[in-house]
Amino acid sequence: MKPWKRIKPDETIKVGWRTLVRKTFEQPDGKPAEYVTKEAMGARCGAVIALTSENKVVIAEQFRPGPERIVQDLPGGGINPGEDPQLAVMRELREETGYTSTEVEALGLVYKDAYTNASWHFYLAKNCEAAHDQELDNGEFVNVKLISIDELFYNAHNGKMTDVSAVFLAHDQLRKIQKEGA
Amino acid sequence: MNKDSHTVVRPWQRIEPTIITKVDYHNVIVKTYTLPDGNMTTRATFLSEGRRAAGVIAVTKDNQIIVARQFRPGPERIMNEIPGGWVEEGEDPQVAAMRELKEETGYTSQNVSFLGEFSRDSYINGRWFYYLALDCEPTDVQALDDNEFVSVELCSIDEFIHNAKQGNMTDPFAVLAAYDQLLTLQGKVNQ
Repeated sequence: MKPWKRIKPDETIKVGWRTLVRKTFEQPDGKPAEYVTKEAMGARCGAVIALTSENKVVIAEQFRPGPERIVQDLPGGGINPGEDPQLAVMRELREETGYTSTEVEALGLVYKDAYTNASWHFYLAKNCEAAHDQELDNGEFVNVKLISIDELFYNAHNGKMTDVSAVFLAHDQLRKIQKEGA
Repeated sequence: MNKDSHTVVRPWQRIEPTIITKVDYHNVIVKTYTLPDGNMTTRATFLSEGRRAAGVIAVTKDNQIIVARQFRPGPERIMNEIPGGWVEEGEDPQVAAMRELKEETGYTSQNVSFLGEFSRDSYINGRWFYYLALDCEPTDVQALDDNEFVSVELCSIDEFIHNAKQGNMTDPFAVLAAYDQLLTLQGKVNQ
């Protein structure tokens, strides 16, 4: 099995401030195949599992327009072009929750969907401290909550957050931290 | 705007209009809301509202995972996906997951359990239902659509988890939902 070849240039389609990209490939049987994919080429987002020194998870509780529910989401957001993903995620953590950390490690990178161009970069931050005030944009409404690692797993298993993949990537480390703390 | 009004989290009130833009088969849904501070806003979301999809972590009798290896147009690479697809109108998501398993891989199972229901992203509409199918057997032949090219491969539970951690599948969150059961199957002590 080989990756499909592109046989036409990208076509970028703007709908409001959303971007779609139409891609044309040659299928393995030689026929052309057009796919409309979400987000701009190279788009990046990120989120962080932020633990305090007492191993509570810093959650950005907020309403989300996709699920149309209040979810217990991880702090995070879009990464600007050229911005280091870790710096971007730590900036989002500070702006959304006021927490900062100097102990950050990468968990991995996930495409959330077969038809999206956006990669998601996930991090684990330890010993987070509430060092700043929240700096929310207009239209951002975020309640900062501290929950236990068990509650994070509960939320991840029960559809109460949107970045469950981050919890998967951090699973072994979180279980180890729990065991050490017990 | 005072700070408190931004940290009180209430559901936003959906108001009209909803503007749907179709790009080929792809829908962008622009929703209008009244925010908790009384201001009006719009948010652009992907996928038609109410769409449902289903996927299955399918395990053979000797604890091999059935992977639907295929090229993915977003990441533009070959990924080791779990079988799955759209749930049809009125269809039970479990029935849909098992139908997709059979069509994409030829495998069937009589031992299926529900793993969970998830949102994929904060700006994607729809719900995703995941199942764990044990004792899968190759009872049928693949029945792929003209534009589907799927190589069915078997891998160990270890390889499957490693693959998900490397970002070589688009729904690693489903692996979290099955994690403890997969480790138990593998006979590992669950930490």
